[in-house]
Order: sequence, then C-alpha cells, then structure tokens
Amino acid sequence: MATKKKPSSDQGSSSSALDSSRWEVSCFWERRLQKELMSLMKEPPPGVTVDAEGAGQNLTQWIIQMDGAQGTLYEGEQFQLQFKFSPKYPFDSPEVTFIGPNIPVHPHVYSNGHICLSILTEDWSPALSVQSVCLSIVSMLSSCKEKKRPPDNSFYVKTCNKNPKKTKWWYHDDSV
Amino acid sequence: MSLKPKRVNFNETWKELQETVKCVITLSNVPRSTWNDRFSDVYSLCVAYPEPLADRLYLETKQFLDNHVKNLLEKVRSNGKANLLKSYYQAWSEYSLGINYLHRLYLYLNQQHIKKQKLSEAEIVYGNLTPDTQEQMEIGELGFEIWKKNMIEPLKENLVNFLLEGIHEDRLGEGNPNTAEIIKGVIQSFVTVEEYKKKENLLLYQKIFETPFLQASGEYYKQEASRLLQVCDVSMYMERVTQRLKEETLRSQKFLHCSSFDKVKEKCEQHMIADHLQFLHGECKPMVQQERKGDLTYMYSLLRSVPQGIPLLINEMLEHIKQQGLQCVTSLKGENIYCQFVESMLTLHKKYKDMINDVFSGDQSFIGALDRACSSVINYRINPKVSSRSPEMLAKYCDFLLKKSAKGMSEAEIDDRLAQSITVFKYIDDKDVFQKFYSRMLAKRLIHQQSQSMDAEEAMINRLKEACGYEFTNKFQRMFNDITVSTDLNNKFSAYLKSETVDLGISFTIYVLQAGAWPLGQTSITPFAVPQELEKSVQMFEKFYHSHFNGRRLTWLHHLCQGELKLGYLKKPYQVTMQTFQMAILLLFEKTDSLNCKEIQDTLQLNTEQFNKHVTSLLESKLLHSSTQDVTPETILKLNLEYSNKRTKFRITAALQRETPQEVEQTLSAVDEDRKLYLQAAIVRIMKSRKMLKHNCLIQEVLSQSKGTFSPSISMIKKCIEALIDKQYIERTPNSADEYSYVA
Amino acid sequence: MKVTIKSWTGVATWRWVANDDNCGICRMAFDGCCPDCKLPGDDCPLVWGQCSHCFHIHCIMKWLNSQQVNHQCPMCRQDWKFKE
Repeated sequence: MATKKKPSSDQGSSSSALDSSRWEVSCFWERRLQKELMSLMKEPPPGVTVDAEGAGQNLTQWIIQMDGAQGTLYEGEQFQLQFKFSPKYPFDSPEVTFIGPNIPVHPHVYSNGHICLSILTEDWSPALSVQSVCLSIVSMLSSCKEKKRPPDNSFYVKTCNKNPKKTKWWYHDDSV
Repeated sequence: MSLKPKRVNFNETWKELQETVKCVITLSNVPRSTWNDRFSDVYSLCVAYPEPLADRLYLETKQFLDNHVKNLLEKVRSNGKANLLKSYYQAWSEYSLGINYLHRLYLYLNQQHIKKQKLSEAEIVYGNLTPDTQEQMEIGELGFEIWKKNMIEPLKENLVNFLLEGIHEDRLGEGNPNTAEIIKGVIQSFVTVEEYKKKENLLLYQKIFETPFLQASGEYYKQEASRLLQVCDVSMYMERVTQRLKEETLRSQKFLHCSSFDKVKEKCEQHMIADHLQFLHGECKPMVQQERKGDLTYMYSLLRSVPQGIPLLINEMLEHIKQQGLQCVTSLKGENIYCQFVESMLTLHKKYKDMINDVFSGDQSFIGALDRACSSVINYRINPKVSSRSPEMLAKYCDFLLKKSAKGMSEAEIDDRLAQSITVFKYIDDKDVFQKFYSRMLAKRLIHQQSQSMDAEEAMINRLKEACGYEFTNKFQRMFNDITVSTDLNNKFSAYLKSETVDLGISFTIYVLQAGAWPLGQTSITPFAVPQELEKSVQMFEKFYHSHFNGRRLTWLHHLCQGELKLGYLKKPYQVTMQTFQMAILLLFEKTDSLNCKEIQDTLQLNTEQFNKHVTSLLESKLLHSSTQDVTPETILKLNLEYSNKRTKFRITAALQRETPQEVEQTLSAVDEDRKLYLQAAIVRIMKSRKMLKHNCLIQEVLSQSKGTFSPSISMIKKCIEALIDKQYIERTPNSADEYSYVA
Repeated sequence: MKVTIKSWTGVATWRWVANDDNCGICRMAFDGCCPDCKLPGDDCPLVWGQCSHCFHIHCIMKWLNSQQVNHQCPMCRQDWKFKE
C-alpha cells in the first residue's frame, strides 16, 4: 500500500498562499478542532475511528468508535466515546463519556459512562488533544487486570451530575 | 324659518320649485333669496306632516329631468349632423354644470332621504350586488343617469364616429384647434356620467369609445408603418416612428382619459416596432459595426419598448467590442508591449463605456455585455494551449509605473494610471498569476530601492485589497511593512553601535524580511565568504538582532545585497553601485591588478553559476578585462586601469536585477504548483463533504470553487484527481467508472 | 586603497527558531500565526518558557489566564516561567 502523505489541504503552514484555512473564517476552537479532525481522519491511532460526518456537521460533539485492544480483557469489544467541546476548548477540557449499549466494565468507568481520569479535569492541558485522550483511555483499559465496576458505582450513578466534569473526582489510584 | 314639520301643499310648492329647477338646470339667474326659499322647500317636503313627500318630490324631479334631456336631444339633433359634436358638447357643458347646482339645491333630499336607503359601499363592492334600478339615486347621479339614457345612448354611434374622425384629422395634422376642446369634452362626458359609480366606472367610456378608438389607432399605425417603410431607410424610419410615438403621447394627453395612455402607446409600439422587429434587428449589425451613435440611440429606445427587442442589440454590441478588442491585442508589437496592452484595453473600455452611457442611457445589460467582452478579450489565448499573458503584462505595467523608471510623469498622473489599471485587473481570470508576478516585482522594487514612492506602493496595495480582498494582498502588505519598519530597526542599530562605541567603518543599512512573505527563491543561494570589510557589520548586526529579537534565526541573502564602492585607482574617482558579489570580486584586487578565476572563486567560495554571472557583468561593465573569451577557471582577470566614464556616479546592477525569461518560466511553474495544491485541496474538501460524486459533478464543483482566483483547465483537474487516487484520498467506486468516493 | 566601500545595504530574512513546526496549543504553524491573528511575525510573536517549550504568545497567555492557581507549561507541566 502506498504511504499516505499529508494532504495539501491540511498543511499547517499558512505561508502557503493556498492554505485551505483562508477559505473558512472561523474562530480559535473551530480551527483547532478542524485540524484535529483532519489528522484523526488521516492518521487515526489503531482501533480508533471518528465519525467524521457527524463531527464535520457539528464540531462541538464527536462520536468515536473504540475497539478493545488485542491481548487485553476487552479484546473483541466495541465502545463508543462521546466528546463534547465548549468554545473555551482547548483551554477547557472536553467532556468525555462512554455512551451506547456497551460501557466497558472497569474500576474507573461508571455504568453511566463517566470516566475517572485526571487529564479530563484537573490535569488537563491545552497540549492534549482528542487523539491523546483516546490513547490514554485505550491504555487505561489495556492495563486493567480485573473487569469490575468502581466500588461506589451504584451510589455515584444515583447522585451524580449528568456532566462528569461537575464531579469532584478523587483520583485514588494512579496504577490503573 | 321653522324646522318643525308642517303640512305642505305639494302641488303649490312643486310648482314654485320646478320654476327654480328649470332656471338652475339652464344656468339662468337665480336670486340668492329664491335659492334659499327653494332649499327650505325641499326640506319642508321631505319632512312634511302628516306624511313626508320626499318620494313624490323625487318622482316629479325625475320626470322633469327626463323631459328636459329629451328636449335637449331634440335640440342637438335639430342643429344638424355636421354640428353634432359641437351641439352635444354645448348641451353637455350646460347640463353637467346645472346638474351640479341642482344636486346642491336638493341637499336635504340627497343626504337624509336617499343616502339612508343606499347600499353601503362594501355591500356593492364585495356583496356582488348591482344597485337596484328602482332604487332612488341622489339627484346629481340621477341627472347623469338620465343623460346617459336619453342623450348618449341614442347618439353614441354618431358621436364616436365624429370623435374618431376628429382624432384622425389631428393625426394627419388637419385638426381644427377649436375642435380639440370639444373632442376632449365629449370624451370626458362618457367618463363623467358614470364617475359616481363605485365599481367599473369606466365601463361606458371603454365600451363605447376606447375599444373602437384602439382598434382604429391600430389600423392607422399599421398602415402608417408600411407607408413609412416604403419611403424611408432605417434611420429615417426610426426617427419618424420616434416622432410618431412622441406625438401620440401628447395626443393621448390632449384627448383621452389617463387610463388609456399606455394602451395607445402599446398599440403604436406593436404595429410600428414589434411587427417590424425582423427588419429592425437586421439593421443592428451594420449600425453597431459602424458605431452610428445617432441611429443606435433611436434603435435602443425603440427596441427597449417591445418584448424580445433588446437582447439582439446587446449581443451585437458584445460581439463588436470583442472584435475591436481582439484586433487590438493580437496586433501588439514592440518593446513596451505591456504598456500598449493595458492602455489600449483601458481606451477600449472607456470608449465603449462612454458610448453605453451616451447611447444606451448606461443600461446595465449593456454594461454587462461590455464586461463580458472585455473579459474575453483580456483573457484571450492566442494559442489555446498557452495561458494568457495578460496577468504578467498587467503586473509589468504596474511595475513600470511604480519604479523610478517612470520618468516624465507627474505623481498625480502615475497615481491616476495605477488607479485605472484596476479596471483591467478586475477582468483578469488568472488573478493568481498576477499575484505571483506582482509579488516578485514588488520584492525587487523594495529590496533594490527602485520604488518611486512608498505612498504609491501602499496605495496600490490598498486598491488591490479593495478589489480582491485581504487575503490576496496579505503578503504584499507584509513585504511593505517589513521595508517600512526597517528604518526604525536601522535607527535602533545605530543607537546600539553608539552605546557599544563600535565603528563599522562603512555606512551600513539592512532590510530584515519575514521569510514566509517574500517570493525569494532558493535558486540563487550560494556559499559566500563574506569579505573582511563587511564582516564586522555582519557580526555586529547579528549580535544586536539576537539580543533584541528572541528566538529568531537570521539568514543573509547576499545575492540581494548591494553597496556603493569608491574606485580610487583610475584617473578620476568613481562611485559605483553594485551587488555584493561584484564588490567582493573587486575588493580582491587591492594588492594586485590581475587574478585568475579559480583563485577568486576559491577565496569567495561562490558557486560557479553565481560566480560566472557576476564576473560576466563586471566584464560587460568594462571595469575588468579577461584573458579569454569564455570565463574558465584559468581565465585571468585584470583591472581595467584605463577605464573612464562620463559619469562619476553610476550603477552596474541593472543587468542582474532584470527579470530573465527563466524567472518568468519559474514564476509560471510556481503558479502551476500552487494551483495543483489548491485543486487537490479543493477536491479533498469536496469529496470529504460529499463522500461520493460523479466525475462531471466533481469537475463542476471544483470549477465553481476556484472561480475568482483562476480558471483551471479540465485536464489539470483530471490530473489532480489521478494524483489523489494514487495517494489514496479518493478511489473509483466499484460500480461505476466515472464515480469517485472519499477514502476516510 | 584602490577600492573602498562607502555604503552597504544588507538583506536578510528571519524565521522562528522553534523545536517544533506547530504551536502545541493552537496546532497552527509557527511560520503562520495563532487562529485569532491575521499577520504572522511581529504581530503574533512566539515566546519560550524556561523549560524551552515555545508557543504563540497569544496562545500561552490565554492558557495562563484561564488557570487560577498553577501556571504550568502545557507540554511538560513544569511551572511556567518566561525565558528572558
């Protein structure tokens, strides 16, 4: 298979007179998300696929398909991640939850899809991206040794806010 | 007078009242007191005790008027047929005025008795009811109704015949000025008698007069047109027709009700213009080709008034302008072909724009035709396979005006010409080609300090920005800014040198440019051992720059630097402006008068291409002599100690700064590269959003997206599609050969 | 002296010295400018932290202003200090 080169339409340099961005007047977060979407479509990490059409229509909400990695407890499973972005992105972290029929059974994933992962709240950095968040979640799943829900799952699910970012997480366990 | 209802003797009262009515209707003298008494009588009858006598009063009055008009009819008839119009008009003038007065005398009856039983306006207009003929009418209306029945009906055919005859005579110029008023008055009477009606109040006028009149007018102008065509050529025909139309408009105003004006005009136009459209259209081509402005003015105003009249004329103009323009551009010759091109295009544009304003009242459809003609001339390809040179020529024209070379022209004149060149710019399809050339020429002007004035440069950038948008001129603006801020930078550097108490030994200035904004190709880059004399300047400036501008890397472009050299070894001292490499070569002759090429090249470390170019230029300037015809490593170069020049200050840079054919080639191929990238980006964008698309649809979308920047050839789009298939951005769908799908 | 230089006009270009091509915050090229700017260069300069990471100044300022307490480099999470 021929190697895919970077398409001319998403070359970063605006020194090209034909930079595609000149045709679309958009603001900070839109331009950054467009760039991310492009690179995620062109060079997706293994097992990660973005629903480009949906994201292309509404940049503030993306659905990402994630395959359980081979050789892990989740091999053969498929999950769906939802990313919601605010206009403050990337200075504000995205809201990331598992959705759909299959929520991974994992000590840091609640049955309502909420994920206990510090980079999604207090450890967020604007240098992170959809791709790096996906990779962190893949590796969080991959390093799991026993499929079980968090110990406080039923209490949390009953009492939590719909938005996981409103939860004051207590990141007790860094090893998983 | 008492307003109390009382017993009234009808017969007595009516007898008196009738006398007055007779006087009023015949406009005889009625003393004020009598009028007042009869006015009260009407009231008394209407409110009489024990029962009101209004209905009887109404019937008697109606009977009276009926008889009166019948008598008038007899009188009119008795004056003889020949006098019919006049007698009718006299009778009508008196009667219509009298009936108005009578209406006022019967004010009480009208207002209190009759209005009450009338249907409301809404009932008539929306209720689809016709007023009952038995219903009582106000006296004024009653009077007109009786006139219509007893006077107009019996006379209408004769009246109308006389009217048509009268108007016909007027058309032939045989009209009697005295009858004009009569004709108008008679026609007006048909309107007046029904004016009180709330709907269809022109029906009588239309039915008995307007319809036969339009019919007769149509016939008349049909004949008139064929008569004129037998005796006139087209110019005269149009003139006459225009005259006829004008006269007929005045005639309408003279005789007719205003609702007929347009209908008459339409009739005339139908028979004199629309019916002979083929003839008129046939005359358009020669008229346009010979630019017969007078004829065209008539032609325009005639054709404009009929449907499908004008498009053919517009088309002839378009073709003509295009032919004139093509003749111009294909016959350009000589050195300053770019000046000729732009100026002849401007002349062409102005000539026909003026003509459209004068002859076609600035009609937008003609302006549109002018635009299309200019655009096809300016973008014309003499060889269909080679793109038009117009963008390059326009850029050269601007360069010529903005350079110091544009001598003999005042600043205002230069400014004016630059402003006008935008007209040509707007028509250019390949704006990207213009952009590339303009950018290179601007770079040269700025770096080599050849700009006549920075104000003019800025004004021109602003004009282009206005015409084509901010992005188009973004880089021009950045280049311009780099040069303008350099003064400040040089001042800061001088201050820095002072504070460090350093003397560079030479007068040094510098331009520091943003790498991304300038079209500075990599081709001229060569290694270069900076001469010792310049080294200090280079080092000090780098030190200064890095301490002031954190995080920036500086690259010297020595092939673009120049300096002034003082030659002290000749009979006279000379000051010569030359490029850095030329300077470096001459500086090596300090201790000797001859050197071989290899030595020089090794010392300076220049690549062979640059070295040869600059040595050649020095030989051509006669400052050096060489031992051989061609420059080889063994060639010995000697200072020309006998050199002399009339001027003591001159420059030898021109040949090196001139645009070479290779550069033009490079510029064009750079445009091609950019276009390919642009097209590929556009295709990816389109396919990404559409997912699957037929070949032709894709081509169309690409064409519409690139409009405004350039017009790509279909074969170039095809090549880009192929390239993207190779790169696996898109693929052919399995079910159809001419359909593509996006590879996510 | 046979030949002396009276004056010399140098021409040079500059570009940013950055480890990366793109700004880690906005992902735009350093040669270009941040998404909120139109002109690269002086109007949209780069800044370096002591950790040697580099961003458009507008981007890093937006990030630092959005943080109430810890001012950290988005790349390495060290405390952010502007390099002199």
